[in-house]
Amino acid sequence: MIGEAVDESRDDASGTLALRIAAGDANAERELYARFARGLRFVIRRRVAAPDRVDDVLQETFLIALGKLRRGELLDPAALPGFLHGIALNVVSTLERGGGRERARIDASGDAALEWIASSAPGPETALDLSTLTALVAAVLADMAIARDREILWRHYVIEEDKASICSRLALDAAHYDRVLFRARGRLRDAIKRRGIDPDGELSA
Amino acid sequence: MSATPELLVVQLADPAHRQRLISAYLRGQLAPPLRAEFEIRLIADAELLADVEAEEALRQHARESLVPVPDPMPDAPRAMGGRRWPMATAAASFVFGIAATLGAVTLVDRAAHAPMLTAAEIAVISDLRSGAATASTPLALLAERVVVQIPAPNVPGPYRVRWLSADGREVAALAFERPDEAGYLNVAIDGRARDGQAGTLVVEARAGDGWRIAREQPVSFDRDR
Repeated sequence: MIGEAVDESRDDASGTLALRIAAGDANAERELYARFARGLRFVIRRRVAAPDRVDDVLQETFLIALGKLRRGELLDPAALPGFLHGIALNVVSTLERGGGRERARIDASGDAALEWIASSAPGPETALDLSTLTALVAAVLADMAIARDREILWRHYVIEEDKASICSRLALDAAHYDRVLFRARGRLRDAIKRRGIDPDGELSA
Repeated sequence: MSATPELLVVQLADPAHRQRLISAYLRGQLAPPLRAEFEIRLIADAELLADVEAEEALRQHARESLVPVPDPMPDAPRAMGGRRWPMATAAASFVFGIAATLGAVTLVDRAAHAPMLTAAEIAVISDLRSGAATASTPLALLAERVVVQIPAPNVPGPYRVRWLSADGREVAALAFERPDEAGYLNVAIDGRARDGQAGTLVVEARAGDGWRIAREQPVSFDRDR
């Protein structure tokens, strides 16, 4: 199946990246950040109670991860995303318990990659600002011209009515419901991409 | 849902499963093992991340952009004497009801209620303030179904009213786009509730990506008052 093939290729790429970092490839370290920072930042934001600590946790996660990867401590290189996730959760857990920052144990001075990460927030993972995002959502929803489709979106996103209830109330089949949500989300994804942030986490030129 | 990474990949390849998983993740409804697997996939898969980011943005900002649907339902009655009062016109609040039952208590929307009510069928919680209440409010069940009028929180809606059993389990929930003209959120309590049965009415207001509790009111049912 296509999804599995794509998944395997991604695992291979992650594994290669981990091996390159263990071999001392400095470019691989920046690739690591470019590839995973946006996703990690999203996950951390969902986990951290204080929004102003998200970038701190993100930096800390990469500093710890790079140290471990350089020492070859990741035994299964293909498990790199899970490895990063585990470190991020540990950093969040330490933070939420009121513990001190791990960075005190990491000497970034004189290490170009670590210094770059330590000063990188907000980096290429930066999301669109709130007003731009609100405007994009408004534009996408304004294009949903069919009243019933708008009602589906209202009930799903604002009221949080469940799928079965919406389909029953509006006499919809499940496939129609799925199509409306898929279309709205897809259009917003495209709009966000056009505004400069692509799905690979890099700012477009 | 299983937390097996391979199964998760298969489920995410199906549009309906993908939507369900993304919604559940953003609503905080995934069990911890599945949540962890989903997040690992999120870190590794830029396409999934873009989908989740878009879904989150829609959840957070759709409210400002979508015009509420017109209410097909009539308004709740006012509590006045023993006369019968007709429901008000459709210009007033509308309710999105999700009826659920556990034990003998049911919250139902007013669409299922008779269009004419007597005062005996109305109960008002008049002293709703912010925060958690400690004293329980007795509600008299003088009819088979009683409409409980709950003052809406003094913040913008939508609102949600949840009924929790004595052990904290959610029994039922109703969502409201706005209160009625008098400022009440109206829910109907099935009068088959047992005498002395107790629980908590939780009133919440939508705040960004989630619901914020505005009031928790312990309630007990009293059929003989």
